[in-house]
Formats: sequence, structure tokens, C-alpha cells
Amino acid sequence: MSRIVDDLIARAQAAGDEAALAWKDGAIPGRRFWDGVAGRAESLSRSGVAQGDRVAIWLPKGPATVETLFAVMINGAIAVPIDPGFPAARATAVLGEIGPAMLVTDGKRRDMLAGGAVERSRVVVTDAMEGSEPGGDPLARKAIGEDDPAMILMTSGSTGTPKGIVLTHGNLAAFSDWAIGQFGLTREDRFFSLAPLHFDLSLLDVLTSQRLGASVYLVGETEALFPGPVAMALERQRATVFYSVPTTLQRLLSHGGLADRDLGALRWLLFAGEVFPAPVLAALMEAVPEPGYANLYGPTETNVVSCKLLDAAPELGEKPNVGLPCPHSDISIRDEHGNKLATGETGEICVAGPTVTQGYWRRPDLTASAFSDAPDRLYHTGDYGYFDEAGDLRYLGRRDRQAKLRGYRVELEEVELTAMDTGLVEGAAATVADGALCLHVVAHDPKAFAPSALTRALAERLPRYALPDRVEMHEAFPTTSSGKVDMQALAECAGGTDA
Amino acid sequence: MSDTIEPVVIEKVRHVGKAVDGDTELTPDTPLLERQLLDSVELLQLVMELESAFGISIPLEELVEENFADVNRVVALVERARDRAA
Repeated sequence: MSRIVDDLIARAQAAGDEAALAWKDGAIPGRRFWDGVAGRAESLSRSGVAQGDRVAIWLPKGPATVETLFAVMINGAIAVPIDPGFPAARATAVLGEIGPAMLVTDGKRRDMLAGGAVERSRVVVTDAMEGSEPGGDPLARKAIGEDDPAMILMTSGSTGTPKGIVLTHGNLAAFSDWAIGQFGLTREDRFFSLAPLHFDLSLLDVLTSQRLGASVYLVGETEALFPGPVAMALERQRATVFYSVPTTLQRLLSHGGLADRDLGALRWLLFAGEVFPAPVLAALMEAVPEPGYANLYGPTETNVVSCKLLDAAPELGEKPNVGLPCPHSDISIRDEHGNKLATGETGEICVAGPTVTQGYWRRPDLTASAFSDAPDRLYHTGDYGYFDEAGDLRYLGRRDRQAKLRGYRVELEEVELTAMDTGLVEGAAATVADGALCLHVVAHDPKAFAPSALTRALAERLPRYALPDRVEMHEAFPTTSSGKVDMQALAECAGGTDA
Repeated sequence: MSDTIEPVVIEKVRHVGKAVDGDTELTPDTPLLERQLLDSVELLQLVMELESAFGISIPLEELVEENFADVNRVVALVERARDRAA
């Protein structure tokens, strides 16, 4: 039985006038929120959505989106939140991968989709689901198992199309249970949700808050662009739990006046997704001394598997410390043959345990290459690191071409393949230096080639965060002695010509 | 005054916006944020470029959604900052 759904239904039955969701222009109490969820669950059932069906949700962040998300999960269908900022071509690619029984979106986005992306009969506009009168009992418990998929979170794929990480009800519960215990979360907490709903961070602030019957403030996409108002909202809402990424926290500090806000109510400031530069973290901890700080670690495929509670910022030059393994995770460091390595030895970080994904949606090839089976089902993260003498996991980075750009995960091959796909270039190679993405290209017609035209063509196909910060033209790519493109030489030239 | 500010603002938006190039339609009332023409980093870069182009300082309280909805609003923002400096 899905414990998450069980708990959500119990919350729905007990809901009253207490605050559930708040956002820039309003708030709704628990009773009304759960009535909304029930109405949407009824609407989905009536449209023929069955258990195990995928329901894509392509909507800006807000109360209706969260209601839809929960309605899908309670029905036993699989929720697939799609980045509301995706250009139409990428949303179409995701829909093609997922094959949803239903797409819930708004009128503007529905009109953006080319005909054929999803059959018209399978698209429902969110407003049309509102006020749906529950016929029977839409929140009646269905037979949903812990191993049944609850959500699919899309991430960048090196093949050029996004891939879907399948998370079961059991995966979500294992993470949520851990977070509740580790941070002593209760229904008295006030969560602050700045991360998008298609990010696993929302499994804490949105899902776990509602599982507890606590309140959550939803920061909208446009609102999130302006650090000043976000910092003010954090103060105004008297948020107690805030889970974010270092890039965002840094921006709130440097451009949002975070240090001037009264954040006395804040109990926990949690971060994950990328390495927090030590001096910036030190400045943040000085400016906002009230909360406990913790660095959480784990790719979306495993969710959080280790946690470092921080009394002070790390020393300069110290290897990034992502802390002790969570009780639910079995972390091992392995060599290229899959053999376990000893303390202090560097290898690939591998994870087994109840938070680990079943695999990628309908991509047995990708799943097979990321998992091994002996003796437990083991996910090979592609991250490298070692265990220190204290038992803490130290993170050293990756050896493949997956990059983190301002906290967003991007496969560099995907950017290159998409650039080739525009037909404007005959060669494309992406490098990252100091967090900036440089796309090196060999143009078909160097005289007519405009870098800005390439970037704009990419903007129609890629999410914004995957767009190159610079486009560098080459007559030909430097090659290594074996005839491969010399990425090292390209990276050096990108570093040396910063405009 | 605003007729001299507007072309500079448009040029700066084209400069900082990765998804914006010479062919992107950009009129004084093109919705910059709704169409996602600028992201968070580009918005801060736009502010810095406007500050240096006009020799103004835009206070933190002015860095809000409403002041960047379209080019007209950004022009008004620059004018206010100029008036304060004058």
C-alpha cells in the first residue's frame, strides 16, 4: 500500500481551516485545497485516466498545478511534471517519450503545441477541471503498491532527447520519511518552495509539507527571477524550512538583500545540487546565522543519500564534504570493475536502497548501463569520490560529460546534437569553464554564420539554462593524435578568450 | 527624454538576452518576462548595463517583476533613477 497516498488521504479527511498553500496573490486553507484535489481526481477518472497511465502536467507553478499533481498520484496514475519554461519543441519531445494518457496544461501552452504532439481529446485545460463535482468518493483508497510508479522526473539525456527517471511511491516515502526524521519536521513547519515542481527538491517542500499537513509557500517562475522580493517573501512568510540550490542562495545574498531580512523563524536551510563555494557559504552563514545548515547529496535517480550537517563553513581547499550516508542508503565506492574500494580510495559513488529509481522510462538500454545487479541492485551515479577517515563522503566531480549549470543538470552531448540538428553548423563541441557554457562550432558558411541566430535556434529546442553563454567559431576543430576532437584544447581556448 | 532611453534599453535587452537576437520582435510593449526573453542572470546583467550606460543607480527595491514587464516599464525605471540622481 502506498504510504504517501495513505497519508495524503488521511490529511484530506482531517483538513480544516489551517493554511495549506500560499503564493504571491493568495492562500487557501486545507479544506479547500483538498476539495480541489478531489475535484481534479474525479475529473481525471471521468476522462478515463486509469492506474499506471501517465498524466503530463505542463503548467506554471501554482495551487492548481499542485492540486493536479496530487490528484494524479491519488488516482494511482503517474505524474509527469514538465518544465513550464520548455519551448514547444522540447515539450513535444517529452510527450513523445512519455506517451501520456492525458496532458493537463493551460490555453496558452496548448496553442503552442503543434498538432499531433498529443491528440486533442487527451488534452485538458486546467480551468476546465475546476469545480468538478465529486460524483462518488474520488479520494477513496485505491490499491496502489509501494513499487508502483508515482512520478517521472525528466532530465537531460545524452542521446539528444530528455529521459524520464521513474520514482515509485516507495521511493518518495523513503526520502520523505528520512527528511521528517532527520530534520524533525512537523505540521507546525512552514515550507518555502522556490525550486520548480519538476525538480526533486519539491518532494520535500511540496509533497512532504502536505503529507505532514504543514503549509507551503509557492514561489512562481517569474517571481523567482527577482531575488529581492523572494527574500522579502521568505521573511514575510516566516518560513521555517527552505531547501534550495547554492546558485540561488548566492543570488539571494548578493542581489536580494537577504542579510537585511529578519529570518528568525527559519529552522533549516538545506541545499543540494552543486558544490557550494566555501567563501560564499561562509558569508551566507554569517549573514543568516539562525537556521541549521545541511548539505544534501544525491542525483535525482537516488534522491538524497547522504547529508552533512554544518556547524561552520568548510575550510578553503577542503574536498567537498557531503556527509554521512543516510540510514536508508547503502553507498559504496567502486573501481571500474565494480569492486569495492577502501576508505580513502577514490572511485565511482554507487548506491543501493529504497530511494533508488527503478530506472529510466522505456529506456532499458540506459537503465542497463546505469545499474548493476550484484548482489543488490546498484545505481552507478557517475559521480566520483571517496570516504574519509570520519566516514564522510567526499565528492570529487564527474568524469563524463554531464555538467551542472547554475544547479541545472545538462548533458553536453545533448547541446551538441541539438546544435547539429539546427542545420547551421557542421561541427559542435560544448565545454564548461567557471560555470559558463561555451559552444564551439564549425559553421557551414562562416561568412553568413551569426552566433546569435544559432543561439536563437537552440532556444526553440533547449531549456534556457542549457543555452550557450558564448558561441565560439572555429575554422576546424583541433584534433588529438588519434583524430578525435581535442576537447582539452577547446576548453583552454574558451577559458582564454573570455569577452 | 524617454525617446532617447528607449532605443538604449532595447539594444541592451538584445545584448544580454541569449534567446534574443536582431530578428526577435521587440517593441516597447513586448512582454519581456511573460515570453521568457530574459532569465534571472540576464536581468541582473541588464540592470548593471543600464546603470553604467546612464550613470544611474537602481535600488534593490526597484528590482521587482512589475518594473521589467516590458520595455516601457524599464524606460520608466531608468527615468525614475535619473530623476533621483538629478
